[in-house]
Amino acid sequence: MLEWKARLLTLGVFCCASISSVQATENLYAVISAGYADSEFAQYSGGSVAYKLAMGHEFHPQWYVEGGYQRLASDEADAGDLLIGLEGDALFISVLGKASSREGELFYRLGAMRADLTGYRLESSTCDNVPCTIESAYDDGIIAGAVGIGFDWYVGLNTMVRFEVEHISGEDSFQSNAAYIGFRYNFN
Amino acid sequence: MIQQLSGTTLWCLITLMFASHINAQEFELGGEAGIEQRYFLEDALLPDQERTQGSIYLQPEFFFNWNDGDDRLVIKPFTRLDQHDSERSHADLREFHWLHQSRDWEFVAGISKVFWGQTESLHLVDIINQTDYVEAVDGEDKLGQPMLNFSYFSNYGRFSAFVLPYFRERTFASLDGRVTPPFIFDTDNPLYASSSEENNIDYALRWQYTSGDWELGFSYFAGTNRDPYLAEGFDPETNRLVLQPYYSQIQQVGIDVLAVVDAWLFKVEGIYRQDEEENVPLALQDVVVDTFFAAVVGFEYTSVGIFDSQYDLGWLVEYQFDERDQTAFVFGQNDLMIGLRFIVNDIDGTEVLIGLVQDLEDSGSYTGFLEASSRITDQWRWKLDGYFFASEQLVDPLYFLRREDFVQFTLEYYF
Repeated sequence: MLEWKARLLTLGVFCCASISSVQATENLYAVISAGYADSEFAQYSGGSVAYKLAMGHEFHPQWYVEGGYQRLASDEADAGDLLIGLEGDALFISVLGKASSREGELFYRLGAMRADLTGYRLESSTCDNVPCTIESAYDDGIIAGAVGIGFDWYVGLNTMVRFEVEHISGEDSFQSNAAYIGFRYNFN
Repeated sequence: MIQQLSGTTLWCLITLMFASHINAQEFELGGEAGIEQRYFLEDALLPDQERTQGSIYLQPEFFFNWNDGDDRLVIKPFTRLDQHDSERSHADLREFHWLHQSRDWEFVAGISKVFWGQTESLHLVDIINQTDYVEAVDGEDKLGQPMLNFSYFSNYGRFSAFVLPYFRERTFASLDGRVTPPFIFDTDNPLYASSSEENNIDYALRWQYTSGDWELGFSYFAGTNRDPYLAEGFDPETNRLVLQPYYSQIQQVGIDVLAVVDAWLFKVEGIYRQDEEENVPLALQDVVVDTFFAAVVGFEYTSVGIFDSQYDLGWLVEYQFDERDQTAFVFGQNDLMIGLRFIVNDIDGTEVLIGLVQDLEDSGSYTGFLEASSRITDQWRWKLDGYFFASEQLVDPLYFLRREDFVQFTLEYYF
């Protein structure tokens, strides 16, 4: 069931991105951001490098729609303690409300994502007919929501530097707080 | 790949191209580069396969024109660097040829690309160039093919003859890549029906005629089959199943037709192929067929200005038939493709194509696809593609791709 929900969200993101783009492809930008994310999922709690690749479109003077790929966590499981590891990828779509000035654009983000998380979790089992817990690998697909706030600062005619903080909360108690710095290129 | 071309063949072609006196009067440089990101929607079959796959590519184009434009040297190298798949990181000479054009004939010597066909869902007739299978799952990306090609233009159509002195092997993804069956392809040890192996000289003839609203093509090909059969083996080092490509010797006749009637496009492609059945590996004795017929028949109807808007909507239906049993590269035995093409008619050339190919003998076997693209500026263009596979039967080649659903975004830069 969860898989189908995730598939539907992905297709929704996909179709929304396509349709929003086919209405008009003026005022498009691309942005690449990298930063640090502190995440919690299953028995994992820790931080790692995170990054995003996204395309955005201004569909209203005060609104952008932005969609892309996001690396949520890059903390590979440690052979000594498998629970200390989380790797996560996501496809996301967001709307960004913005306020512009000569220096740049202040924005807030409201988004949804389909995230795929891999790692190890403790699960109940039986060992020699005795109840016990074992470390079991998982590859979970979840739906999550995102809120964020940031500032795009003009550094050139078509180029901006992005500063952003973001909070993500999703199914199965997934939580992530991240800070990013990025580069934005306005195509037109 | 470039490395696969024998030194002798390459030098012969280069010498031939530079044999005539080149007094370059016009030089053009162009091309494209891009960044591509794939996202796979399901867990991978193999533990080493990743959820995402990024890559960058570069395809510059060099043109030299001389002799008042009657002679032209075309060079189009291509290279891709993939994040995970060492086989998808590759380079190729897509084109490297000399073209001489006259009033009613032209001659091409070197590496070139040729496309034959009319239908959307399957390209049966197209046989000159090998498929660069690591590039795209739809098989529409082709490797450069060394050739000598003479074409004569008359009131009775275009007559073309091809001599193809070197065969290009099909490319396959590695096990670190995706959109590939979970088996090792032994591309270092391909099997050939011809004792000349990749140096077998292939031939092709084609007649193409356009009259008003009709386009008609007849083709004949004799030589090395571009579609390999896959012989199963066992690799004792990895304890895994190994698939060894076997390239048979074939003769193929093909027909392709396009008819335009008002807002309707009627399309037909059909082939009849005879396999020489020489040096067939034991593992393929029951797989290689001596003769078969395959066809694609369909139409595309375009509603112009739907709901009094600027948008056009095209309806595509194609039926695929193939006498062969299902093998690795034969999907459409008895399948139906239904698609929608949404055309925005804007200055950016925005289009969206969405479709489904359904196996009519197995309701659980189908392929879905979505292709969207638009220009951003004169230099930039985006593409959004999605492919979705479903199969429940182990004998269905799609079964091994059932967990390879993916979406792919490409940002292209033209220079």
